[in-house]
Amino acid sequence: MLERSTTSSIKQRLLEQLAEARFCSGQALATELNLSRTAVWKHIRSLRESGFVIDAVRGKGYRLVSEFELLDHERIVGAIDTEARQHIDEILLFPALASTNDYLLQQRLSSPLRQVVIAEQQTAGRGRLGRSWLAPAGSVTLSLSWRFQRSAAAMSGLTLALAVAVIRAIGAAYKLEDAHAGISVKWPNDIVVGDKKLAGILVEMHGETHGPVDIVIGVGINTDFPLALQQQIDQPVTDLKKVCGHAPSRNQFVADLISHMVATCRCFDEQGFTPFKAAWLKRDQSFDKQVTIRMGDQLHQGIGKGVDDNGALLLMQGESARAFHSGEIEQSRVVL
Amino acid sequence: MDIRKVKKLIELLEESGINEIEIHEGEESVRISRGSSVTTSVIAAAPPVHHAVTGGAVATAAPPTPVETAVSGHIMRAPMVGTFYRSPSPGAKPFAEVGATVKAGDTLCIIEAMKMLNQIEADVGGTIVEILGENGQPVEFDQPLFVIE
Repeated sequence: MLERSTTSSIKQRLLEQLAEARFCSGQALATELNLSRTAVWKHIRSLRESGFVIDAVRGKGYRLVSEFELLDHERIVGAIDTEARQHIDEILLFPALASTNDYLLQQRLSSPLRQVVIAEQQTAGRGRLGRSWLAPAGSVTLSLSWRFQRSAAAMSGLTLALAVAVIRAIGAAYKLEDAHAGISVKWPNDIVVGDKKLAGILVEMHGETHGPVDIVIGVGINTDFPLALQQQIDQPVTDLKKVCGHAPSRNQFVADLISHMVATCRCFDEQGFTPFKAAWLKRDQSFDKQVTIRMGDQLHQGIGKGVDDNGALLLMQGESARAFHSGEIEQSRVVL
Repeated sequence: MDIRKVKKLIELLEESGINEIEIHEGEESVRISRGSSVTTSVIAAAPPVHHAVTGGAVATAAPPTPVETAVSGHIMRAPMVGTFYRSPSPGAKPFAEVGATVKAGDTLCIIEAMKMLNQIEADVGGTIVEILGENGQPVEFDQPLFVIE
């Protein structure tokens, strides 16, 4: 396995200085980083914009309000499950990157490597269909590229299997009991608590109809989402610290995510969605609820009845069940 | 049986896709079926384009190959079930329009299933003469999406 970490940016080095939750004077930071005091101030402002809460006290200097564990390449690699690690060709950690998915999608022509790309900060994260994904400090964003020896049609259900992988990683890192703190899945793969979004998964695919297919999986998880930034988001969000009441090591959590995602890709390539179906159904947010699903400009309704063997959503409409392969759930509510 | 009636039956058979027809009328009966000679005439009736494509194979007495005369050009089909999108995001410029020249490898559309986004690339170069999928609508596996010439 190749191991590589990119050189630290000024912002990263500034964070390292501040991360120990003690005051650093502007002059000391300027000397340490070989910058002007104005430049230091500009970088502090930019860190604040990305969600870091930084105190500035006259005469004392700057301080990160809460202790912040920066991502560390060596610690992440060391904490990944040994078997998973053997199946990864390269792990890259960037202090800041526009989008981890885009980075891997641009790489794909040169080599079908199994790569993991992690960004301390994502500056232009993407959601589905060009929607933006705000990834400030206090979230974890990473992408994995994987080649599957399957046809495009046989990839059905991968996104659901990955939702199971992310929930398992959360369970491992946050030491959750089986109830998993009320974490459920909104078909196909939105990880939510109640109606609040906790994590999103974006899967992008290229390949021949008959396979193999090259997949890039992007995962974004809110770990400790700054309150001030929540207002900028067009949907209700929550974070793992609120849901679980504590926050484990970020490096350990990233490692657990990678281990579970790799194990899931390997298992899915051999056996498809079937081994993940029961675990997915256990977390199904819409089961037995009145579901409204949007497909293009059409709305369909029915009672949620889980998913079929391909991961398609089953809705009871009158006497018969109908399988939906695409569309977006707009609402699911308890049947009165 | 009246010979004109038989002739009419033969004409009926030739016009239709039926291989065999059998008529009973009192004591008499007649059965007309397509022999090899008829099949040959069907091949001969195929458009010249087909001959050009098949090349030397025409000369041999090989079993007739299905003749696709309805569409000329290369058809790109959906590799999976999902929703068909012509642009990367709602309101954005479509990847391709009718009349556009594309190279093999150019992205033509996205098919989304269960939040898996599959960028569908042209497998041949040419001009897009027809777009058969409708933006935002579901497509079935193998459904024709684009015709490229």
